[in-house]
Amino acid sequence: MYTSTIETANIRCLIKSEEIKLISLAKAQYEGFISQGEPDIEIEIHNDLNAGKYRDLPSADLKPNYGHINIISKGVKVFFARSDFAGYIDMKNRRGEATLSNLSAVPLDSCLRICYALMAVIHGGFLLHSAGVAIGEKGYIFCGPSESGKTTITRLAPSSTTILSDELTLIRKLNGFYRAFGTPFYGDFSRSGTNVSVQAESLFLLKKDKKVYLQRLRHTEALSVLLSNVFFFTTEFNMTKKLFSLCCDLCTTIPIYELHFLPDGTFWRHINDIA
Amino acid sequence: MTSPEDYIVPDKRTASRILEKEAVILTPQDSMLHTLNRVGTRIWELADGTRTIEEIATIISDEFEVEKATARADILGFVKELEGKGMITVRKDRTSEVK
Repeated sequence: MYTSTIETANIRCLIKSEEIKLISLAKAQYEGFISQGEPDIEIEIHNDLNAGKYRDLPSADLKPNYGHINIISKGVKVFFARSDFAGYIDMKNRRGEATLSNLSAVPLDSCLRICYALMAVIHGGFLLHSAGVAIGEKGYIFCGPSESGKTTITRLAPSSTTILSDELTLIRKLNGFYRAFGTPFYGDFSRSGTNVSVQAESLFLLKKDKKVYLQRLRHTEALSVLLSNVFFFTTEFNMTKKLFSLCCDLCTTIPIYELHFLPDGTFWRHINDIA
Repeated sequence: MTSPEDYIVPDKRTASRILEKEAVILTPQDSMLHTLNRVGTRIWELADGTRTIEEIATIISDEFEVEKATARADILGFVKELEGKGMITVRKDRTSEVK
């Protein structure tokens, strides 16, 4: 069995497989996020969706779906499937399995994102559909769905900034403070974030507009924004309750704004004004 | 049918928090987030299973300066709505637990 351990936000996921090519792929894909530390979860990856190696998938009520990921929670297990992969994560025993239809980064990366979506909550954080940018020791998080401008924000960041991600930033409370962590998960920016963390300073909901301004949100509005943009994959009650509590905590801790912006970088002046 | 002598508690399947004097309630079974206004939030705060609906109506009547009959009728309607959404449980007996 070949292995590689990925680490982000101090959460380590060990990937193991009998396919050395898959582990080599993982090491290349997640360069900068490879760790030697003790894993928090182990995922065994198989190749070939039709090989019959996947035993526990409740296939009667969960069928792979093109594009969308089908998710079912059964007790402590979360089952997931798409056209190119299927698997489960056992949150109690901190292990999982996944079978990929082909040896490529896309299905592997999707499985890992699901794993981190769950593990983050277990460890007092969450993955947020967001671009994250670090300016010095301060982290600025820009959230929104696809096509909202996350990659644009990333591309327009000043040269002195560090990119945490243009797609999924991990927010986690450590030592009483919320920190924003770089992740290896990227979108159109086409490269991993930097494996660093900074204190989460402000969070912005992106709104493309014809003028540039910030509008501070009330806590209830901010909570709705967070919950709408969290990357999360279970309906298990205790996990959902924990995520809700984390989001409530965050929106009362850091300011959350609507950022109305033009795709020309002028919005950075407004952000600097509140820094 | 709910009566003013009944007690009300948040449903155990909900998660809630008061943010800037507004109650936000998550019903995980449908992932819906509900926000209550000032009066609704106050009723939610009082719904800990130790007060009857009638006692809550007395408090609401005093604090919001409305007729008690109006408060009672509004609360009964509100409880019916929340119960329908799985947010509140109506009990015949006083609970010994405080939320």
